[in-house]
Amino acid sequence: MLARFAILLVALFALPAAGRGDELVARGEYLARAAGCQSCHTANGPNAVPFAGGRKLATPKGVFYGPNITPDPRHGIGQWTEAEFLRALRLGIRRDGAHLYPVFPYTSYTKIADDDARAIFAYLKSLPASPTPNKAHELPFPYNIRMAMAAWKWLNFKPGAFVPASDAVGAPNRGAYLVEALGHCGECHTKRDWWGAIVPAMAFAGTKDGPDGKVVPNITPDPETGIDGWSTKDLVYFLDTGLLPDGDSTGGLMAEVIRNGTGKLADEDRQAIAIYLQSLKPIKHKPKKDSPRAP
Amino acid sequence: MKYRQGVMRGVGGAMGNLSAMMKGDVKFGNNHLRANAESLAWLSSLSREAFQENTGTTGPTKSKANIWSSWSDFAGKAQAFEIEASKLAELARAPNPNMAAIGEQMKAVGGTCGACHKDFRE
Ligand code: HEC
Ligand code: HEC
Ligand code: HEC
Repeated sequence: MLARFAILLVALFALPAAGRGDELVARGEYLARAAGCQSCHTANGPNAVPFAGGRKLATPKGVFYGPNITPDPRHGIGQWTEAEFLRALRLGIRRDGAHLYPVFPYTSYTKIADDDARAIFAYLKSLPASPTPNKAHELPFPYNIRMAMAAWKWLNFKPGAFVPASDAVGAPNRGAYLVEALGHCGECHTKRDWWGAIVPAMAFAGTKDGPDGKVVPNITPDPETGIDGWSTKDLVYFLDTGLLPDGDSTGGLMAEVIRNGTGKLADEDRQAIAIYLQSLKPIKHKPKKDSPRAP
Repeated sequence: MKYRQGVMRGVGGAMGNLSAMMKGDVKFGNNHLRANAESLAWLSSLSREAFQENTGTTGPTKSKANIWSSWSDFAGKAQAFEIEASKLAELARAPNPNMAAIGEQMKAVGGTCGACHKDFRE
């Protein structure tokens, strides 16, 4: 299985980026997995249609529902052009020009390479169209005003392509791209300020107010509070299986990130992610709930 | 409460040993593979009963009270664990265990742990 994937991947990356249809779609599928698009755009439950939307996302700012992004012309992205799709990932702007809420992590996706975004678009366009209507978000004032997002973006959002570190070649760069652009790991694993924007100085050091109100652990290589005790092998195995070095199993949203995402990547890519995490600057921070249950 | 946590710690111990073998951190014979997989399967068959009676959610516990209010859902998740763990033991019992299949089955078992912890553990 893994070997087959690796061969597939090597074949895919050896192709020119604008390969023929099928290859482009297969590459897009792989990249969409690495980016975890499916989790937020698919309702919970065994009968949910993938990418047809309806997933409930509880955040401190209100409840959002991932929209339908199958090629349905009315409820999905059937009428979107490639340029409009690229603009959404790059700038967080909807087809009609409205601002998108940053729950859709364009703050990370802005770093996705254009060729990769085109492949993802080709993949989404290849899916069966589902006529599932979208659910309205449930947001309190002032977040219910889309225009307010213009101010938010002006303050908190820096669009821009991924810049590889000049001193790193090979795996760390691939890992950085997978973690920072596609995997958007920092969107969950980083503390947010009052604005709901991630705090760059605390990147990857965890937060007590993660999605669904859960604690998200520190994944910098800090000896006391982070993943310093993990070997590269431990990390690769975890990203494949969800099993922690002590035999416990990860739950919640990370289990989903692994099931739909990192667990379906090639071993080399998991390796690249692991090496990049281990190269981060260690930050001492142990996220904990303010008032744990009475003992 | 200690008992149910003990069962889970045993489960974690066996799972950790199997993971270490899969990663190649340790190299032991197939007897170790088999014994850990068997003990995981044995313990999995206890998980439902170990939680059946609510022996407390006020001490140092991560059990959520909905275990007992949604008991049939919890019991179903315990059963899924039992089924996947026994498949793993069966693979490990083979004279020449197929390591690739065991690796895949470890994921299936891990999925049942995660599914239950997601809903029923803090
Ligand atoms: C963390 C959850 C999350 C992830 C991951 C995510 N999205 Fe979204 N996405 C959303 C939400 C929520 C919205 C709606 C935002 C709004 O209404 O402003 C959205 C909106 C969109 C839209 C605009 C749809 C419309 O009809 O307005 C597109 C296109 C889109 N996402 C594509 C993607 C792609 C492609 C990926 C993967 C590369 C992805 N999303 C990953 C949550 C997510
Ligand atoms: C949707 C939110 C989300 C995203 C995206 C996410 N994580 Fe996680 N991650 C979590 C949560 C929540 C946990 C804790 C799970 C638990 O309590 O068992 C976690 C746990 C982990 C752990 C285990 C740490 C420990 O000490 O137990 C690692 C390693 C990790 N994540 C790495 C990553 C990487 C690498 C990525 C990007 C590819 C990523 N995560 C993306 C939410 C997320
Ligand atoms: C049917 C539900 C269920 C399944 C399946 C399950 N667990 Fe658990 N597990 C729990 C609950 C509930 C707790 C919290 C117990 C407590 O603190 O009262 C727990 C606790 C744990 C603990 C912490 C024990 C301690 O107190 O130190 C570990 C480790 C663990 N589980 C590992 C696993 C592994 C590994 C698997 C799969 C191989 C698994 N569990 C399958 C429900 C489950």
